[in-house]
Amino acid sequence: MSIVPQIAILVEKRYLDVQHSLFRFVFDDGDRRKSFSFSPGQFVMLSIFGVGEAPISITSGPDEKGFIDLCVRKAGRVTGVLHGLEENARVGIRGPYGNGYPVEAMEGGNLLIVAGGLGIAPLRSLIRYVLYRRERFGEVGIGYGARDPESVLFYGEMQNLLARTDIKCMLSVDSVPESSRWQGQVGRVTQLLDKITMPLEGTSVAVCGPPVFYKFVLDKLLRLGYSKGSIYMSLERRMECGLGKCGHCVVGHKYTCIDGPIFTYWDAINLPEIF
Amino acid sequence: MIFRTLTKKTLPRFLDTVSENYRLIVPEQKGVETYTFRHYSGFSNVATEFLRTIIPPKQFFFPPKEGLFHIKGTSDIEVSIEEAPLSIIFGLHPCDLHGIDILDKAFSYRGRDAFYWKRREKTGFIGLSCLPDKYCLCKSMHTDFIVDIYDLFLYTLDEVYMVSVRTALGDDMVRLCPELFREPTEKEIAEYKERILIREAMFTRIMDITNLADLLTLEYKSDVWEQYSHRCLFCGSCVMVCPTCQCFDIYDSTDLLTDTTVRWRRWDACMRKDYALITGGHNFRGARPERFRFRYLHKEMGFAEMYGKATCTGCGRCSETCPAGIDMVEVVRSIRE
Repeated sequence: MSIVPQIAILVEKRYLDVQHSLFRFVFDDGDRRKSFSFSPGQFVMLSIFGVGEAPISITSGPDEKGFIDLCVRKAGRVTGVLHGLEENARVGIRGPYGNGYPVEAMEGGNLLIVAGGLGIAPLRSLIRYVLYRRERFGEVGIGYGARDPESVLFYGEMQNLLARTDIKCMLSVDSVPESSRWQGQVGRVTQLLDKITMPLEGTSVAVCGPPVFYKFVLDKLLRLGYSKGSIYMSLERRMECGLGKCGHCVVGHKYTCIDGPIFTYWDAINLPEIF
Repeated sequence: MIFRTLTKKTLPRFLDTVSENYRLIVPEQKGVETYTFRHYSGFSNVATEFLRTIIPPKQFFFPPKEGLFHIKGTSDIEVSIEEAPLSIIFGLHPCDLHGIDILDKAFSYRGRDAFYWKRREKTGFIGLSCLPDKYCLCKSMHTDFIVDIYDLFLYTLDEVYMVSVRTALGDDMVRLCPELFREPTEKEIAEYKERILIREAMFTRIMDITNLADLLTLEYKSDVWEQYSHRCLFCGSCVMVCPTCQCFDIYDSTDLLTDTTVRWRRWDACMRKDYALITGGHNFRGARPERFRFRYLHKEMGFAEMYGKATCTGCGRCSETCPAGIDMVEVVRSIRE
């Protein structure tokens, strides 16, 4: 619960696409490395000293101990510098922050995961949580939509998920350039939802993606008959402290950083300024 | 709580003694009708008949700008927590004490802010009664009277101060010069009662806050926000002088000569254009009416733990300070009508 970060070392950098890389960090302090634990859907504040701080969702699974994986888009000041860092670079990390998905409450039921673009980053953590204890969940569906074949993140891992028989996983891209050898589905992620049929009763839905994605996916989920209370969305807001103090992430009367970032659609729709 | 009286003429001696034992902060006159809190430098500079300082007392626990830590290169993080001396702030009116109470809640909501509390825990308060002017709204906000937060509270009577001794720290201060304090007489108690009525009658400004949280919700889309947003300069002055505004911004600065980075936090204002701007360019509250409305909603209906309750203490600083002459009472009246 401190506003002061701890030193972490960039131990591995994996290129995903032109805008995104996967960064693996370990805390410099051995005790902190062991004690750090989190829930899927939580985030950390990443510091690059002299540049600033940015909130980033954790992409690794909570059962993978000793390191933190962050899937980051090169988009702003901090993330821009991050992409230029070499292995062994020293940064600051504090957290984890936020409520995360209510994974224990989700266990015993079915789970539908719907990701759009970089929305896969926090949901990958949830997917890994589920795979680690697959037997505790009923039916599991995953729908992932990307803009084009080039921007499918974690393509190899997605192929493994597509091949599994105990998960209904589907991947599609919005459009395919002529030069592409894409063999998979083409179309909106909402079309995948017609094919990934889940029982409405006892199914939680975890959704994460850009604002326009939410608009279409939420609408589709409601038309399919899911309850607003069973749909979990992750809100993006400006965050500076992560501790419910600085005020920047307030939406309506809630702090996104501590009351969220995961809200049910029902809770979110009752907050003004939600979109 | 016990009551004692302190002869007005002996206040200098009392404050001198307090200042020998604690770091004493007092209100002083700065300009024609402006006041500011300063370190005690002798009683002749102390203002005892004033209403509001320019900057509220929050500056002593939540400074306008403070370093959180520094780091040389990327070596080791050195946290900037200095030992705060035991301090006493003299001259706090009920509205400012209520403001501190609200900030205490904000800075302990689901986790204490170590930087705020390291100073706040080492600070005691001597309250001082006041008579309202045309900006005072405490009566309407129910913050015109307070029974906690302070250690001592001085009610001004003709010849004496009626002193409420609330805490052990208050008692410690009284015991520094026990000869100055005595039991109140019946005549003084009668005068205290009389003063309550005189003060009551002096409140000229009333803001009706009945069902205000509901009205603000119902009038969320009101044209009023648009109208005021044309007048508001979005300068953030109202935020800087507000005793309960807690927003801050976190940023780094690096000294290139020594390769040392300092992480700072400084007061921020929700009215600023990029307050809710995120990476990628989306601004969740970019439009002027939205930003104007947000501050009023927060002040009059709170959020988080304070949700539904006003976090405005009615101190009058925002109305007095606003360069565009926007007045809280007028805004709320527009919403009610």
